[in-house]
Amino acid sequence: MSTALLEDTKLSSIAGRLYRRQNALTGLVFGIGLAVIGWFISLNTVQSNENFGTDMTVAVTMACWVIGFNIGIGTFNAVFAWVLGHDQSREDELYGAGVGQGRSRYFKYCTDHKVVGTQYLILVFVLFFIGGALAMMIRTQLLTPNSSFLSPQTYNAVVSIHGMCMIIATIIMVSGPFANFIMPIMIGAKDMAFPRLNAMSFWVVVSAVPPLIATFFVGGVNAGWTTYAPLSVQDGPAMICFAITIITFVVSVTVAGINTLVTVLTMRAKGMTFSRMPIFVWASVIGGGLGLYAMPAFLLAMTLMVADKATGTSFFVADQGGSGWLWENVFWIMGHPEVYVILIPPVGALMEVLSTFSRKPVFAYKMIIGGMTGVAGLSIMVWAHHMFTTGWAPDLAGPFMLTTELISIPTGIIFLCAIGTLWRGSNWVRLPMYFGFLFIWNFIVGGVTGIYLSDVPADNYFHGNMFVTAHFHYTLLGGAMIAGTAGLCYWFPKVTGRMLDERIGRWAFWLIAIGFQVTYLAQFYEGFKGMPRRVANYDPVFQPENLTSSIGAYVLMAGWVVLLYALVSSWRNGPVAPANPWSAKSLEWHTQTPVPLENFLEDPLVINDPYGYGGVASEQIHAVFGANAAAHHSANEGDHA
Amino acid sequence: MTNTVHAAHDAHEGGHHDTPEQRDRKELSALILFIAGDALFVVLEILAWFYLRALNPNDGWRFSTATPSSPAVSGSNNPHDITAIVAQAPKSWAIAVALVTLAIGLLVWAGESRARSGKSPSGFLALGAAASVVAIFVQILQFQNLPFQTTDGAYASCVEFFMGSNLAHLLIVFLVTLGVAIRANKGLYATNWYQIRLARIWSVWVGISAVLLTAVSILFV
Repeated sequence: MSTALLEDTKLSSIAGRLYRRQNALTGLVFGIGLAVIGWFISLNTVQSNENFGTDMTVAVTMACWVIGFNIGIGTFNAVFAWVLGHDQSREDELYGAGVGQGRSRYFKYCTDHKVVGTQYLILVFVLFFIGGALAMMIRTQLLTPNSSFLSPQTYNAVVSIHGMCMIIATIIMVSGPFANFIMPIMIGAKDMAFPRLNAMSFWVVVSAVPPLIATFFVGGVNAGWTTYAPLSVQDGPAMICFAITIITFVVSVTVAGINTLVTVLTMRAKGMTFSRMPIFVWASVIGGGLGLYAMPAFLLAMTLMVADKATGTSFFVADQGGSGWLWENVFWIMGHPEVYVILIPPVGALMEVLSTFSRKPVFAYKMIIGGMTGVAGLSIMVWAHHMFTTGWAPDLAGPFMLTTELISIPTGIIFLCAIGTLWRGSNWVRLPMYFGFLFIWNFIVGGVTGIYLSDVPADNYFHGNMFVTAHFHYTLLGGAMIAGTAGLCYWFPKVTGRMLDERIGRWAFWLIAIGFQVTYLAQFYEGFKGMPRRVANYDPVFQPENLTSSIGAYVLMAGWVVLLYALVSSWRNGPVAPANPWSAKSLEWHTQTPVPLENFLEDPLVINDPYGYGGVASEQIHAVFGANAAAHHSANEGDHA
Repeated sequence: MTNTVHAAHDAHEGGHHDTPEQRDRKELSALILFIAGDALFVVLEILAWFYLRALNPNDGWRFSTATPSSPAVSGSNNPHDITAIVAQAPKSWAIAVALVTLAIGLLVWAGESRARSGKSPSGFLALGAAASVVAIFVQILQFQNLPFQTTDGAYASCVEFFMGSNLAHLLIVFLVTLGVAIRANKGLYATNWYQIRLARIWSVWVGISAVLLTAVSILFV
């Protein structure tokens, strides 16, 4: 078999056709151009209509931006080519996968899943930087009781966008970079099932970011990240930008979720049965599937809100027959599963880390999958625990309390399996394991405090105060984001081809670990004392805890900045990584680094699960390749005969 | 070297160049997942309908003592004196949209049957594309002939949202049916009919959702 790499192929000058002329810049030009046209037409037509107004103009402008950007980058090329009966040639496909384009492919509609994964990784960094900077503004405002660092209105806007920016970032932080870059290699596939949809899911979410930033320039979102009606309906045109961001984001997540599921269902290598799939693949499937359940509700909530604001309907306006509770129900039907859309993929990544670095098989493989499935299943039956204090359906408080408390059982199973994996392992404490240990501590605090909040009487006290803020930061930042960071440090050599500077990484770890505890333990204490959340100014009695929390937040941010420095400097100048620096078993570590265009030069044949550390020698091999695969296959055929 | 690579790659099983059967398996799986998500959206739309209808805050859906024989609009709290009972009068447009939308699915289905039996499907598929244009046109006419505006309370809001949702579905149906019609005309389905089946499944689902939304909007005012 030829050992020549597909990426060395010389393409003709017409390969890729229209894609040759398209990149992020043309996306920007088309986006801005169409937005200006939309704004001009809307201003001169619908704005004069008595039922419509500024909100409609903003909606049209933002929608035009999203459509224009995606026309410019090439999202719709294949759709219209298909309609017109033009299929891509092999050369077009190779051009689309980035062959012969060097680094410029990272700024184009590239279909290679590894490029898309890397693009997602950069986008996640950008979103965390924006969300983190807003968090610092919040903590600076709360340093003193009557700070004038931010006006109350600006404070509300900062809190709202911090919340949504972080929610978007955490939803895609693992399912974007690693479910794209790593997961297809893990199952022995050559790419995702739909490479063009894969590129679409990335560029669509890119187009969702500018409307979110634009909210600050059109009055700011004052309704918090949950944008409760009727506050949101009464808010200014920034709410429209916010809703357009979410609607666009929903399209991206839906497409990505379908792509992930279909890839795993249809593209696994020979021998990769469901019981041999790595936990991370299971986690990506369960997270993607749960996203498909949650996103339609998000789409409906935001579309109804845009309708109320821009066209004068009354879904949430009570004096004309609407109801704020409709918003709360639809929003939280999305909102609670979404927490597990965020959490499950990073936990899957963490299990890979724990198994590799403890040199043990994951403890109770099937129980972990059962736990994740149980969490996902129960998460669709708990939404009203967010509404205990609103007065909605008091008779249902008991049942929803029960389902919420039940969810701690599968969660506990996953947690015990993580501990069981570490137990009596030959723990190799590298940087990913540091973050693994931190996850275990943070997640137990976040999980246990969640049980308090599921209890109706306790929730009546805690719901509106800082206890809730501390709880969900322990689960999403301390849990999901730390587990995601463990995954990032683990897969960094495979993604970048460089080894991460662990000395600087450990400095970052300690700053993050200590800063995090100081920040959010102080907020738990604020909650016990009764400090309300979402306030720009507070009673001086809460100042010591707020001062402590803000100092902790600065240390935490310093930790992230140091980690970012370690990542960037290692990516640029770090030592070249070997193909399998951790001596791990799963397939991504058994191909070259950098990974070839179609991932493997020889097709893998999977013969065992990927956790064969220790035990019988024949069970330690996850997969065989090429001639070995053929020999293994023939031998098995012979056995059967 | 280029040719060597191509030859080596093309001999490789699987890869980007799937067989029609492999491609169909992926596309069918994706379509089923997409329809599942879309069905959830439709179910939530209907949930919103029944939720607001049941609550009827400030008589915004219908005047609380109104009956079909005595609509009792005058003097109600409804800001525009429109209640569900009065507004539901013209049902014919809604029924027309649902019927034409259903017809698209049947035409594409007929096209698929012909393709499966080795005959040319392009006639029926072209008719399906034409029917989708008609459905879009009738849907727009329904918008223009409503006896209320978006601002006329919760009932009016729900009806118009249902219509908007159906219009969005129909635009996708138009794109899909136009695509399969053009491709069939070019002979691209001479050896397999898989994509026509996908178009049929989508069109039939849109027909079902149109009937569901129409039934709710007519039967449960």
